[in-house]
Amino acid sequence: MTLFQDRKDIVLTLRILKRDPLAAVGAMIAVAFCAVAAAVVLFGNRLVPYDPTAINLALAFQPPSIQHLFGTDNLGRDVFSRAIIAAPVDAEIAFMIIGVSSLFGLVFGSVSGFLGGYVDDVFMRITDLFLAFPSLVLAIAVAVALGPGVTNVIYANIVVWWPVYARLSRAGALSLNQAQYVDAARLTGLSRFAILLKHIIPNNVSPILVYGTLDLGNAILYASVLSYLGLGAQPPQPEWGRMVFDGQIYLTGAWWISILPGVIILIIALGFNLLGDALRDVFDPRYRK
Amino acid sequence: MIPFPGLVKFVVKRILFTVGLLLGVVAIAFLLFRVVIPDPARVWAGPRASQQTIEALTIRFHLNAPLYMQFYYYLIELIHGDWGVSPISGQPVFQSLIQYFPATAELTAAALILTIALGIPLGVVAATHRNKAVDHVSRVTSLIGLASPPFLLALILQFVFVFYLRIFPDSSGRISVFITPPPQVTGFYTIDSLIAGDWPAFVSSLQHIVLPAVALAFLTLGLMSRLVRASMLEALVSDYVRTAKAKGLMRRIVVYKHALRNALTQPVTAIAVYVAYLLGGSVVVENIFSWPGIGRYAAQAALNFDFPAILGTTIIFAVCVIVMNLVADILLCVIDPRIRL
Amino acid sequence: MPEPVLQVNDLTVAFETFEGKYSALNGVDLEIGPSQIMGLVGESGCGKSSLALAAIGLLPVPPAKILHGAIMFKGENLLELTEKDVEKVRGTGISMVFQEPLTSLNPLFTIGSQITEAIEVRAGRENSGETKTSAQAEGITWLKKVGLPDPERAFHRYPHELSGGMRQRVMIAMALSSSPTLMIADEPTSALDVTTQAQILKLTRKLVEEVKASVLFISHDLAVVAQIADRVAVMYTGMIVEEGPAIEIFTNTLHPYTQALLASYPGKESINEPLKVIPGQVPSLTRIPQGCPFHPRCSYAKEECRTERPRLKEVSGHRVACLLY
Repeated sequence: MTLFQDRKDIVLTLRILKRDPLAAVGAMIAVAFCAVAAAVVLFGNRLVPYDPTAINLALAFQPPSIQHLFGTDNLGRDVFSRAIIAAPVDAEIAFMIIGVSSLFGLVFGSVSGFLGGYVDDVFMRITDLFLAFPSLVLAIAVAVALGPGVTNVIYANIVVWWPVYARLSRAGALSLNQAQYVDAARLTGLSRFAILLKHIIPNNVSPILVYGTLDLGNAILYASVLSYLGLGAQPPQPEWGRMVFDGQIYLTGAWWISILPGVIILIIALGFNLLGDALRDVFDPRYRK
Repeated sequence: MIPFPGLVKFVVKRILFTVGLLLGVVAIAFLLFRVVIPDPARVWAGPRASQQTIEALTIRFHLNAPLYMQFYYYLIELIHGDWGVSPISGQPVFQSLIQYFPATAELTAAALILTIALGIPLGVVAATHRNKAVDHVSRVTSLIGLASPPFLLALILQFVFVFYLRIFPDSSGRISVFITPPPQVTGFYTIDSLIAGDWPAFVSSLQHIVLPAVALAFLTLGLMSRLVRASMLEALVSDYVRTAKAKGLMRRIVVYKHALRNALTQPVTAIAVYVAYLLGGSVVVENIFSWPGIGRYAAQAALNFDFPAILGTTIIFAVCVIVMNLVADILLCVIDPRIRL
Repeated sequence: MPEPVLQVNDLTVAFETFEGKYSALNGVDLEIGPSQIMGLVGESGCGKSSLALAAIGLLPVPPAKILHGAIMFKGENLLELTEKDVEKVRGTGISMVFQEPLTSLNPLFTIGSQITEAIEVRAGRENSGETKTSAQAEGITWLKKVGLPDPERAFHRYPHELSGGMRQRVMIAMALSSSPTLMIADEPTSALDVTTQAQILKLTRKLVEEVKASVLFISHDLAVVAQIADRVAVMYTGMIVEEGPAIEIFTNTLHPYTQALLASYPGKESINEPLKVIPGQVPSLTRIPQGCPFHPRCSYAKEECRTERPRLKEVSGHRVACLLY
């Protein structure tokens, strides 16, 4: 089950995206998010209509309008511009979390499932112990221990995220162990390490990739909660979760300051969830029937 | 009845396993926060601590002793309820957790009740009316629930129901400031006021718990209804349902007695996972609704970099989840006779 | 001639699948008389199970479509009844025993409760004033009748605690305890070993006589059918190709397909000879040959066999669908 093994898979994916409108919407949202994040990294403040850090108390608390799509906040800053500029922060956090966790989990789980026996038992016990914690709270605890900052948020979440990928990879490795070509490879005298590297791990990549795409949405949610609690990027760098927290106190008078960044988070997470669902339908052999 | 010997053995085995799990969890917490984290004494002392405090803590937590000695003292402290002191509030962490526990328990229980009471029927209806309007609405709602950050619905609910529609006049706390809370029996204001026969207290506490419970349950309700729907669909095409129909049983009995009972085995196991999600969500939801529970305690801890408080929360929440897992396993054993062997 | 219990007239059913139109049943004509055991034989994929499910109204109707024909039971066409009315026929009118007894029994309920369910359905329809205790007693009696050791304890057991043979006995007890006019058994012994098979067949024969029910006994195994059936019908690609008294079918075989089937069974004389195989393959039900569906594999095939579809004709005591006659 390698990723996009033949043209058939690509065609099937595109057909599913065309047939299922929700999947197509999800794909568009995900792509748009990445595009915007990249654009902000490249062009910075020139991309947005207003300077996200410019304080202008005279313009404070403007409701959404044509000039200010998301209104202005308590310091007169344009909320829309701030939201755009905040995009790459959560993008970086989410991709780093999923990227590192999935890589580590892939190797950890594949080794565990492939070797089996005592090693497998110990590795899986460790995984279970990590999974016994409610993940959001553990991530918060590690982030508090490490201190503020984006990198620490990434580390904190990796601690919580890797076990699921380890479990997934282990399941994949277990079933691959039974596969005929693995037996064939063993018969040709290939060392265990080589089999692991050439057969087991590469074949585990596509289910991990599919799950990872779905998970990106969750990663963004966790990142936003941590930043809501003051643990992520620090001011003046805008970040969606942080914007929600800062805008809370003005909820009665100016709901747009906190609600709209929250809605953005919802839309982005939804997009990745829809895309991940569709991808899973392509790669899950049961659904293909 | 025949199944009891098997049931007792199963429960005992699971309890032993749970104790082992608790030990392991505590060990992981120790490794993560005393060994892996750089400079644990500084972290424990809080952001505004003086060098003296840090040194005092280094001595107190035996941070210069060999690892196994540290672990030994750590376990002793945990068991004796010495979970450190919050540098922000100055209060011992363990006492604060005990104080705030009933509020979180009540809120989580309310959210769980909502999840089960609404999620299961919704899932059943979505399965029996597949691809009709109800099914689509349920799917969209759970998609949104899965993608929502926990603060969004809480804020929207507050805005709409408290400020805009004025249905719930004030949303903070567990009960109106003008009403005295009922005498403590269970710690749940709703139940305690019923026991005391205090009707105004009951109404007020119910009013206060509705919005945060709904905000908290949004995610798990979506998950539950999808899970029940999927399980029901699978059960409805199973061989034993086919046999039930072939026996001439009425459709109502086939669906609710045969299919549903089997479909519920997965949701029962899922409840433990849902409790984990609810506890995580409570950190945000309790803070927004000023609900005086562990969640809010944890949120304040995070905002102030109060490490002992957040660590205490993590451990107590982990214990709750592990216990819930045990409860779910026992429930499953009662429902599914195949497991008892 | 007594009134037939079940009469299938020219039943044609097709399934819409991704691979095309799957013609499960193509003009099936079959009659089962009172207190008669009709054996239905055919290889896998010939439509036998579809016929059984159609009779009891359990064909999954969105993918399946009833194109033509009728199933007459007690004067009514089952295919024209509403779902509620079909419900009333199931159990006491027509009951069914399925192939896989483990998955066909609800794992969460005791077998006792599942048997009393069937008994209570019958009691409710007869208005016989049966109570919970009397239903339970009757259930235990039935468990005894099907030969379960220690029926009182078995009553409180769960399906996974019994062996395959015992579970199938329970299924038969459930099917017969509602006093059906017709019991359909779809490959009931295929999942069992040969010794258990023989026991189940003997048991079924005895109980069916006692209850005075008719049976439609479906199997791919001619040897099994030979032990139990009064009449035998042979099915090929969704059609009945030969049908008659069991003795006639086995001693005076008419249809080339039936002949080939019988010949492929190794007998004592053929120990040193290679097994006789029917040449070719069973055609997929999405691509049934024109004319007589068996003609590509038939050693007697003539020119007209390719275009003309043979219908069932009376020949020397039983019916056959072949252009040779």
